[in-house]
Amino acid sequence: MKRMRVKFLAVSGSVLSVLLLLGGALLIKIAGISDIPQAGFPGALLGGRYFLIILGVVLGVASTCLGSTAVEGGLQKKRYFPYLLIAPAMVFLLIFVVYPILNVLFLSFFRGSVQNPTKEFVGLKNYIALSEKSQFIVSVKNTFFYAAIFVTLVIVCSLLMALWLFDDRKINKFSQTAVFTPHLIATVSCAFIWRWIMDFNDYGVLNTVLSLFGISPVPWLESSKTAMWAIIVMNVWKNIGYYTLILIAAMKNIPAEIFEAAVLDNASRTKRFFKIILPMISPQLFVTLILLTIGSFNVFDSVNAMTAGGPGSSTEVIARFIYLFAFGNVNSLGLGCSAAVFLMSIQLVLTAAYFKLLARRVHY
Amino acid sequence: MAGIEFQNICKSFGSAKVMENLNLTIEDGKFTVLVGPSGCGKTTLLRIIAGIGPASSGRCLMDGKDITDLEPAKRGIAMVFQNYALYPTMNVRENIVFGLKNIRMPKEERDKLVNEYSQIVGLLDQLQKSPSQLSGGQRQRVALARAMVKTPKIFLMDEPLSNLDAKLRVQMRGELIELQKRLGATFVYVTHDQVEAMSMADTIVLMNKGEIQQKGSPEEIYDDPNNVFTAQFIGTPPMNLLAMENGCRLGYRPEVVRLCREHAAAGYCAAGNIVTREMLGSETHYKVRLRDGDVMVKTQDKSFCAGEAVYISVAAGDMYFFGPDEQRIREGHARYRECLEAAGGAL
Ligand SMILES: Nc1ncnc2c1ncn2[C@@H]1O[C@H](COP(=O)(O)OP(=O)(O)OP(=O)(O)O)[C@@H](O)[C@H]1O
Ligand SMILES: [Mg+2]
Repeated sequence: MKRMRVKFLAVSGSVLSVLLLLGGALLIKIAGISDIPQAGFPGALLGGRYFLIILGVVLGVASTCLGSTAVEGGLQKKRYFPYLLIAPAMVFLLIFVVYPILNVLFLSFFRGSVQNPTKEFVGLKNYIALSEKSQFIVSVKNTFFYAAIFVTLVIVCSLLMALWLFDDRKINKFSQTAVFTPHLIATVSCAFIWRWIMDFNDYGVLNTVLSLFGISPVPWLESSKTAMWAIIVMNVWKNIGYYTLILIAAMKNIPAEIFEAAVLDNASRTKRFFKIILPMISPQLFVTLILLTIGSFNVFDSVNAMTAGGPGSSTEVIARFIYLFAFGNVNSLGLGCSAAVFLMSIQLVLTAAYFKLLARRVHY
Repeated sequence: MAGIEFQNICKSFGSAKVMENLNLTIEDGKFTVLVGPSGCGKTTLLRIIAGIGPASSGRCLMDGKDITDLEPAKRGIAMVFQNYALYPTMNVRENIVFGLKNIRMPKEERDKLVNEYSQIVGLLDQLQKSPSQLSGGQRQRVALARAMVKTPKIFLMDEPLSNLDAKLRVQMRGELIELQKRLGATFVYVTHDQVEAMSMADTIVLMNKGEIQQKGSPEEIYDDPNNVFTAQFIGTPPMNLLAMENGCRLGYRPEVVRLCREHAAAGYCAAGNIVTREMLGSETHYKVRLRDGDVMVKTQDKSFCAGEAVYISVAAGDMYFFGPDEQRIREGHARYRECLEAAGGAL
């Protein structure tokens, strides 16, 4: 009898959660209730739809947990029951992932602004305009350049770093923490640190050190030849620690006997690396590659803070293009959206290509 | 060919000492079997020979040359690991051939060897599978083939047959003995199974708690144990041990006991009751409760039944004596006569 009640609670909780989530998300459209919370304590929460959404999430999680205890209890026989339990999560995904994607796609066929996104239907004109816009083409080129170098460098460097810091020594524990620290700092702060380091006019640290060796100062961020590299260096520095840690964890999973067997099999260090370590950490490496690639195409904050696309347009990237056109210029939201769709397609195609080309070589 | 010599080997893991001042010589070209209870340091010893778990102190010689600090790869060793340590990302063929590729053996030669040895271990039709697709016993055979194919000077095998079924195990034992004779290599073989130890070994090294209890041929170990541990470790059922009044212990093997219904005329004879009877086909095991304790009797006579009152007698030559320090009291020892009399074995 108690079990039946648990099940009933779980089902009704999840149904309620779905309603709340949908309600919260759609309220502004249907009833025109303000998106902006009212002043004062209860109004601030209740006025907006946020409250509904938060309540929906909490209820959804709670009912799923409840439901899973019922499932473990061997109660569930009905087919629909599991679907009911994951319904809140699915609705959440729909509202916050699927809907925005479709919305961007939808808006990319319009000319409009943030205030009035669908002012005029223009079909594919935004995409055509995009392909003719030299600023966009430069951004795409720069982004690809950045992504290729950045991903390669991060993977190679964190692999080397992981091999180097692999052994259990006190100093290595410290070093792991040290290389991980940049990951904890906001990108914008990192960007400013590196702007100081690479400063040209007032002799940043880098140029000061170089001048000690008699090398004349280099305008790292002010020259179109070095600006992108400076951004890459900053981002590599920031990301290495995180991926080093992931790869070290992966390597620690390899049983020591396997290395010992390889040593007795006369395998050289390189052979051990390519024939044993690399295949055995390939799942983690594969995930790293995908995450890094997707992330690198989204690069924005470091560029914006360090060079703001300059000098000239030598560090303009797609995400900055989207930002500028969607929110900056007048009536170009659609253009920004079409660039966003383009960016997303690149990421999709690349991820699919990785799966097609590399998944075969990943040993699970 | 290569003999191995340990000199004053100590080994500790952190603060835990598992081996202290161990001295041992493993003869060149012999089949040496290391036996001992779990955790006694057999694997540790093999790892010292292989150079992958070096000793904390002491020296390790091979052919009289100090190899204490020699790289593992240069020692000319193949090892079968207790947990196989197969390369999970390579298939069976690649696993077996990896060591040969690394020494740049030509392909035809390699393939010939791989086929030959995978035939021996019965895996010829499994070469394309990955280790995760194999059963435990098949994995073990891959590990075996991977070591055999290298035809090294020294084979180290850490319970290489533990996961095989009885029939396959007997067959692989034969193959290993034959291989050893053919190559004339030094085999160091670890096992829990004393039948395996007795049947395969030229020399048995019996260990306990990081110490060597006895080293000798299977006959010596069985017939002439140095101490209580050896006497009880080898033989199934183990040697019977009974406390005597003088603080020493009397021992005799279950198969030398004569079971009869009347008191024997002379020598050692004790009265008791049969507690259990196990008929194993060719032989029968009885557990007999004496005044001093229980003893096992192994005989071909199955005519006794549980509950029956019997006498057991043992010939003087079949009796062993052990002092309070658990060491053997041999004939000629100061206390031998005294023990023999205390046991009632003296004529
Ligand atoms: N890496 C290690 N760290 C700490 N202690 C260890 C380590 N390896 C082995 N030992 C200890 O050393 C002792 C000997 O271990 P070893 O593996 O040599 O035993 P073994 O004789 O091979 O046992 P088994 O028959 O169960 O394989 C054990 O007490 C074990 O706890
Ligand atoms: Mg062991």
